[in-house]
Amino acid sequence: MTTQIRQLPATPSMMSPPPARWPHLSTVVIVGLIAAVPLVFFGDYWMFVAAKILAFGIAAMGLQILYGRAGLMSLAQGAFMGVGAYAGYLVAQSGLGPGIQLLAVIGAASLVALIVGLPTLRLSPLRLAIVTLAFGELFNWLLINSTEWTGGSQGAPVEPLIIFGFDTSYPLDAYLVALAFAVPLTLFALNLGQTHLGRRMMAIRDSEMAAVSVGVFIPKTKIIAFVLSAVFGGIGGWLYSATTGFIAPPDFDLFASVFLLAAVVIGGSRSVAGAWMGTAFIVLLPEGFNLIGQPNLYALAGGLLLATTALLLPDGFSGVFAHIKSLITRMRAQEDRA
Amino acid sequence: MKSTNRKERWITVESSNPFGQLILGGLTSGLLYALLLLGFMVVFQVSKTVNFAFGQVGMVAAFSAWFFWSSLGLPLPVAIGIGAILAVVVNSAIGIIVITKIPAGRPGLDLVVTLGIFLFLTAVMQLLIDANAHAFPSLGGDKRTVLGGVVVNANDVAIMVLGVFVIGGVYVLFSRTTLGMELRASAENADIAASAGVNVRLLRLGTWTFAGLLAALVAVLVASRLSVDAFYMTPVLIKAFVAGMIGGMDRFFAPLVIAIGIGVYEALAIFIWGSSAGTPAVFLLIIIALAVMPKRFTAARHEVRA
Amino acid sequence: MAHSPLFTGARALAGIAAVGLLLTGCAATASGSGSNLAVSGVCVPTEVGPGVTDSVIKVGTTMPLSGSGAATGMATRDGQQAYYDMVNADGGVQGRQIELMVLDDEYDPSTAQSRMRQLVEQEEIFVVSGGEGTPNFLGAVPYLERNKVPAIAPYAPSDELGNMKNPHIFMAAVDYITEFESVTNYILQNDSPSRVALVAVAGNVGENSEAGIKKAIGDKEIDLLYIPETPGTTDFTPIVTQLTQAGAEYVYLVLTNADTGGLLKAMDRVGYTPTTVAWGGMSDESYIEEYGDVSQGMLVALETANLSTEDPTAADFIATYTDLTGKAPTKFNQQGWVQAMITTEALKKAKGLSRPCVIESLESFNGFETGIYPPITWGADRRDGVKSVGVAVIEGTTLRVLQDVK
Repeated sequence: MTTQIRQLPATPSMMSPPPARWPHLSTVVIVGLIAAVPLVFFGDYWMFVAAKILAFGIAAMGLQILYGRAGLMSLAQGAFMGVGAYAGYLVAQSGLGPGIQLLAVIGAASLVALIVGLPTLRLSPLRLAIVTLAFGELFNWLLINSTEWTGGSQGAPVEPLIIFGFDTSYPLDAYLVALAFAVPLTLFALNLGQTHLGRRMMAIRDSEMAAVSVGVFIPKTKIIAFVLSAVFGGIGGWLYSATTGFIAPPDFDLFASVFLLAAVVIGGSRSVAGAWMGTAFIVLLPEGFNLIGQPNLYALAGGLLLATTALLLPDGFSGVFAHIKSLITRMRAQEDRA
Repeated sequence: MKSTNRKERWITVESSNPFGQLILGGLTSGLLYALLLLGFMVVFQVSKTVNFAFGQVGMVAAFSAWFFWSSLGLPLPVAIGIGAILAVVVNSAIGIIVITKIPAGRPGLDLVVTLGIFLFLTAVMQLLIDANAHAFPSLGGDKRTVLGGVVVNANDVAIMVLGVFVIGGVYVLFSRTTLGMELRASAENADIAASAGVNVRLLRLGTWTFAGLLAALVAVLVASRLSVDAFYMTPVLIKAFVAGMIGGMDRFFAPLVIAIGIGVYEALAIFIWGSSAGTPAVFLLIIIALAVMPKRFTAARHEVRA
Repeated sequence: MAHSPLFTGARALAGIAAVGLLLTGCAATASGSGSNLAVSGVCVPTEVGPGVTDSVIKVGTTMPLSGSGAATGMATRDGQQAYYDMVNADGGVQGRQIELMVLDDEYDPSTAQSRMRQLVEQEEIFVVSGGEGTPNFLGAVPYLERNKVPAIAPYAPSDELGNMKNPHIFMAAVDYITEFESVTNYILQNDSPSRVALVAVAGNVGENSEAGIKKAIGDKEIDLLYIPETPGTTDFTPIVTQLTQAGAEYVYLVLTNADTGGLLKAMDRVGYTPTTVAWGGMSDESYIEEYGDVSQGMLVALETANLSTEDPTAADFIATYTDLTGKAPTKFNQQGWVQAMITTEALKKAKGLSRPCVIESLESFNGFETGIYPPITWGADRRDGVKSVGVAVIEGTTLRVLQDVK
């Protein structure tokens, strides 16, 4: 939570639209290959882990839109996952299918985002972060104190989603269902940077004053970013609940939100791919300790690794790639000159 | 019940002024939030970063003090002294090894890095001592007198006195002395301050030391009123943090007053609406207060722009 | 075993396309009742379940080994390990050594489920041997049910468990409804208070405790004030003020060790001294050692046989345990020990080493004596093996039993 709201140099992109740029074919191929890895190599357990990464990753992408793109900090993305998960759960309890559940998830997340965001988005990013923290605490309190509806502090078992014969109680199916959401949402998030909306968001992040001067209507743009982020969070939470078949308040508490923020920061907050890499890092870190046969070491070494990684890679994982890319470009340029 | 029935049929309580008792409880809790926040703000002054692990620095002091006292049998003042030294060492190490290495212009990075430290300190202390909750000596909690129907104990008085002196002292230091000016100057721009002859490194080390001592002090006092384990400082930290963010980390009295206010309001809310209403009452008030706060308070001018 | 029956590569691609369709608006409705929760499978003595080889039976569970619940988790694990060490030294069960694997669930439901999946799918454990902690264990329950893995005697007091809603979970620990009904019955037999209060962790724990007290009170004229608490309370004065204003003669405390200590200290600070009543966790010596001075005269539910009695079974257990580990057992060591004892008994009695045979074996428990829990009885449609608790009082640094566990 930084308190450094630094003036970044206004990016030229904000004034003149860049050439429309859909993700390169190579990017699509790489992502496709990564997504296919679990299908080919993994057993049930790793499939489950992969499905969890997809669910959290969708939520992290939402936070990346809000935080990385629009510069608004939220400590409630975990709570928005909870809004989605419990909205889906409540609708499913009344016997309604996945289509209606999805609508309810999107509706609930948007509505809650509007209620929280409309009166408070004018606040400075830090104070907004505190509002979201307070909202997350309230939401958790509500879950614990509404046992009849939500199962209360001991949580609730969630029926699997069954979509076209795919049953999310099987890890493979859960992965495929989550993938079917993750792919279009990722494309949407990638493409956002090329749209006017995306550029308006970046303008606000870089300088609100400059944004106003080029005609950005700040409240509308902020609220759209906030709602979009909440909807991503809600869908992620809904898919998470379908994958694990169980939801409980601690899944969506302050620490869940802080870890999602950590995922976005450690992946590199300026890039969608960063949100994915950060999520994978956070989810896979404990699994890594399992692999080396020291599953109970995670508690001790996990925090240290998180701090070290963040310190060594201040621009996140995506920053490393960007750095390598610029190195290559420079080397090529030198070759050309030679 | 035979021998288990140690009470009289009529329940007697020394306190006859429940409202006053509540206010006293809320004030002392609020002062503890404010003192922790003061440490937070001092660190923020020199580093412009928020240290999420700051409460755990205090935990290290109190938990190890408990260990030295209870398991090694050291006299309590010695044990607390060693705990305080450990807190200073840990806080300075976090400052020098970690916080000064956080590069500028990456919002959120300080949170993630110090979250990692938070988790690490928690796990280390659990490993070194244990995962149980322990009773800490009550530090004057058993020496009590009744004033106007309110039971006041030495622990409460100590917190009030310390609160006033420490907060007052820091205020005078920052606003009235050359040292304070140098501190502020080196916070604004370390390079310029250094070229003007200010020993920035020494100043920073002094700041980490002072903040570490403050964390240790608050943690020991909180432990003496509740219990000590590897986690107990987190709720205190969150409230101090919230007060700092609402009041503005670069102001002085506003955030501290808000911290004390949170303590009092929380006590009243629990009393009026019941214990489970404490959480929603505090957090709802935060949202509402920020939502209706006049524009001039929410304007970003008070936030740091480096 | 949890493999999707239809898996092919083509299916994977079809899946992506199909769910893509869903996104464009063609939503399908679910069939609703996803998994089959009935206990299934018939015991075929020749069949061998996962995790069973000619020389080894793998069992496992998750417990909090780090974080705020770690102390009890580690003690329970150690208790189980000690029992299995003893069994293995005596030649094991059905000619096989028992191998225990306990993973850290951080007292978190979601982590517990991941670790349980790891145990079942990767480590291939045969059955779940005990467990410790309610919210975390509950996180793994839907998964265990779906995959029909029997879980034997976890310590996870909850009204969700111990009934045919979750038929694969065999409970030997009572839930808080039964625990507080039992304790309150004892109090009402010996005293007639008119005002009692309950301070309990908000949510199911508090609600169940309240329900249990109410059940025992019935239509007697006793006022009950319920004050839900959120763990991490930093100032207990308001709660104490409510209690004193209500003039409660008995105060039930169903809180964490730390918060129990914090509240008792705050009561002490204003000189308020009702009779306090606590859940079973406070009968652990680590609690009495820490908070004994503010807990004198506190009534405590006894879930396991008291270790400080002269009872020969208890003395025997203490001697055996101390012999094996070099340390005297605590309540949670004892908890782990009895979990392993019940699991071992179920394996011994099983006609074959498959999961349906173990379930059949568990259902045949009839008054099984552990010397630690009350006699355990399960049946074809009964999952609550135990229906009462004892009562003890904290005196000095020990517990004196007022009503025995059996």
